[in-house]
Amino acid sequence: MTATPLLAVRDLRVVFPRNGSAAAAVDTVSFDLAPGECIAIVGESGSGKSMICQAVIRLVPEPGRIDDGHVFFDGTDLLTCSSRHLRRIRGGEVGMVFQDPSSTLNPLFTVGRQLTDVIRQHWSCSRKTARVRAEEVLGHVGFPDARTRMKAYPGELSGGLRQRVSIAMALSCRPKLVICDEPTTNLDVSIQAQIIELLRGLKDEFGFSIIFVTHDIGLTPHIADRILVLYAGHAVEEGPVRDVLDRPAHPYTIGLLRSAPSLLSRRGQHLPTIPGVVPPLGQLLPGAPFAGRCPVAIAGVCDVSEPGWSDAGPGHRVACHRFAREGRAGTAWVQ
Amino acid sequence: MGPVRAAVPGPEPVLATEQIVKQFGGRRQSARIHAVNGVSLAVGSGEIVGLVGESGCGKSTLSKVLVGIEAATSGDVMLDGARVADREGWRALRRRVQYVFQDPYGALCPTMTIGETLTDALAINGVSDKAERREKATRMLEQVGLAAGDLDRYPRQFSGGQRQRIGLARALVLEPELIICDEIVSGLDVSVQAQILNLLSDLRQELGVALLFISHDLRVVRYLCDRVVVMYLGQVVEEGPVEGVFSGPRHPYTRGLLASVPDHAPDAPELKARVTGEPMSLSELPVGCPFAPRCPIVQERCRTEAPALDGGEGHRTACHFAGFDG
Amino acid sequence: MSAVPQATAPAPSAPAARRRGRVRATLRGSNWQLTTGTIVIGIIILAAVLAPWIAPYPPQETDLTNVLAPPSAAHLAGTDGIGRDMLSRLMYGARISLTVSGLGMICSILIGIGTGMLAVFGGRTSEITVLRLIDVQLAFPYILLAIAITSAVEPSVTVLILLMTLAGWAGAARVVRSVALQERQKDYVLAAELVGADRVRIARRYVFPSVRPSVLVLAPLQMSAMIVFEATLSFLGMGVKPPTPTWGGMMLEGKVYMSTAWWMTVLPGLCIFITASALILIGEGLQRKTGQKIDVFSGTVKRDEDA
Repeated sequence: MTATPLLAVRDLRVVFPRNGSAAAAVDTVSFDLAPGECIAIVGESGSGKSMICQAVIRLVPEPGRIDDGHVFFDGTDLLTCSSRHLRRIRGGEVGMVFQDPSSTLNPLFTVGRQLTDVIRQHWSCSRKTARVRAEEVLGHVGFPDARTRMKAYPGELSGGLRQRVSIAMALSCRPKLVICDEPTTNLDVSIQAQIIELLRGLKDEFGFSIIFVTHDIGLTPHIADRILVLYAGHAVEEGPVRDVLDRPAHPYTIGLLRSAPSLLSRRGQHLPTIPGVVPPLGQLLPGAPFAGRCPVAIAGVCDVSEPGWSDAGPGHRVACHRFAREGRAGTAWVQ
Repeated sequence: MGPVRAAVPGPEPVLATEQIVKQFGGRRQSARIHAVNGVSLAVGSGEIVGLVGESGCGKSTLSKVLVGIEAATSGDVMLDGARVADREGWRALRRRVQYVFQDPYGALCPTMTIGETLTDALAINGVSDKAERREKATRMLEQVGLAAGDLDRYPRQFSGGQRQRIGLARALVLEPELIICDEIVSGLDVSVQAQILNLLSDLRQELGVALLFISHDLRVVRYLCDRVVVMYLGQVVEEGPVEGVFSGPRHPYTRGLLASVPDHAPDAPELKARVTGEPMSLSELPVGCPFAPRCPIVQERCRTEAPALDGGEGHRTACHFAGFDG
Repeated sequence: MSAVPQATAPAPSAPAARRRGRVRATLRGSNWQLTTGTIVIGIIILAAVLAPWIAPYPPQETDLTNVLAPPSAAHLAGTDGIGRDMLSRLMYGARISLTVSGLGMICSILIGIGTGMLAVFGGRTSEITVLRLIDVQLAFPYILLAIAITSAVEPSVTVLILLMTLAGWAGAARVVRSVALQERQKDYVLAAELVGADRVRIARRYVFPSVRPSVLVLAPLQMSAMIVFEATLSFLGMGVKPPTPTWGGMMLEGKVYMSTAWWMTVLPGLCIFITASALILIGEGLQRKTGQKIDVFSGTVKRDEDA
């Protein structure tokens, strides 16, 4: 990295108590995020992608806890900084957009009131100034008739509009980083497209970075610059989005891409599937995390030690024993 | 707009509807929800028909009317071409048409084992011999990819994907001709979804069972289905063979919907939010075309005259300017 | 990094810490409420059932030479105003308390199950009828009901059981209805309907097993309330008439002797308290075991779905 990254996550580890011992929901995950860059974190259930979002801003729910690692934001480690600093950062320099806008937005207060509250919390200014700023940011997110409709309660708005308000809240204090945890999962396809377009446009206009968590790999090329693939709490592949999608290196990524139906794939044949299921938390066997289901696992190697990172192209890395030995030819399995 | 005949040629479709209308709500006009406004569709024997649309389009309500969970306000459901009218008719329908639910966690009785759930279905439907029931249940479990030993387990011991398989087994155990799948893969991981889709495809191949596959995910529908029906605000706006509709959509809504589908393929087009704004509320019955307020090629005629479902070669569209490139 | 599962770090002074940990685990993990409550109730039931054989004196035997005697070796619980042995009377009193509250609880729960399920599965008219009846029942003060009934009819054990049933069925019905209603909304009930199951079958085979744990939790709580109710009625003179010993009746007799012979009121009171508390402990223990929490005021049940 030539320039200092805005966000540097190093060896992040989040554990939950399971059957008397600590099971890792996120295991030694590291990634960097440059200013103005968008990274998509992709994984299925149990991958730990949501937990990373929560850990970055130190909001891991009990009984989980952050066991190890650093989250360097603008030079400061958010995991060890003071609560005061953290409170200033959250909602200010770091904005969050969650999956369910109904839980982000308080049903008892108007949209305008909630926005102005957030603004005044981070910038000490008058109510009037805050209201002006709120209108402004609502306009940016395409919220129609901001001045009048600001007085609406969240319950009176549709899902799409509520999510726009959530985005407005995240943007209101000119953040440097916006963390989006499955922001469009509950929305209709057409609304999802609107929100993705909106986020893309806002990122280009205001230059903030985005962490975009999703289970839908099809979304990634439309918003992200880079992609990080997670499996059972471990990072298995990372790289420029088009590179990973077109030339995937890890057997899991390959399996995931193949089993996701696309509008352009061939019809009428069986979809390749990944045999088995994701192991439940705390039941991951030693060795490479995907070894138990991997069609090209090397006996005696993949079930013994975790792989290190190998180079799979410019800025593209993969954690796979098979790849380290045989390159892409070794990991390209077909069902 | 008079009654529209089903567009499938040949023998009578297993299940068909004619001009189903479903309204919820009270006597007051303003309080009514117009969930379904005149839908006619048909599913032929061994066919997989996809029913797509976004929230509020009425596909779930329609599916409930099809099995009699909800009574249609007007219109008919037809089994093998004959109207289903009375309780006996619905009983007959339910022996031939089954249903799998979206949420795998609530769809199985938590206090009964899988075996009990499956065999009870058989016991209710006249299979009196206990050994025969168990044998049939085992066979169906194996058909959906589970093991005979799972018969004595409880639902909570299975994952979401497995519970969906059990739901399918329950639907299959009565050997129906049509299974309605209501968003059954929506809550599942992509890899598990793929397994279920393959299973559905196999079931059609091996058992000849037809499927009405309700989904909001166009990618899945394109992969699995033979025909697709696109709904918007309680009406069918386009229907036809999957290949034809997906490669050459003729209704502006379908076009917009397809452009909104996020795709990871290398030659996939950029995601465009072609369908702008918000859908109309369901409490107003639209005059003219229901898509008019959001349509990029709307004309005056669209606001006053409701378009009829029209077209050739099994590919029909409800648009005055179908196929017109705006 | 070889991912060998980490062994848990050994505690300082291992044996002592292990012992401490085990005690803590026993207290936290096991269901002490259920154990304690069952043991206590077990003792009381045993005492009541075996009373005719193990009571030291016949309960009606008077000894006017030894009235108002404090607890001693001969009379472990002292004697009352006419020299009857308190301990024997307490044991016989337990028979009344347990019979009335026990059978009353069983009857009221049976009726509660019947009406609760009817309200959910019986159709709109049944639902409305049952709900109205529940409302009326709950609004009616029990004491008035008791006064009305006992003034008209001689209060025998049977009449008291009837009274308990009348007082308790509505609470049980509400709980049953609450759970059954929750279950009825679920997809599996719909699936059963689609397969052809009729309402009775669904109620019996599919829904009732989910209702059962809540009823199980409610039973000891109801019985506990009935123990107190029966004692109250006896104290007010509306219970089983003397000379049959009842705990409440004994407290009534001992009222005048409070300053001189405290054991006449305190000991029966203690029996009522211990029995009722033991039942509540059993109820709490069952709540923990089954994961169902009953709110007795609103009659709603909060359930831990995957317990």
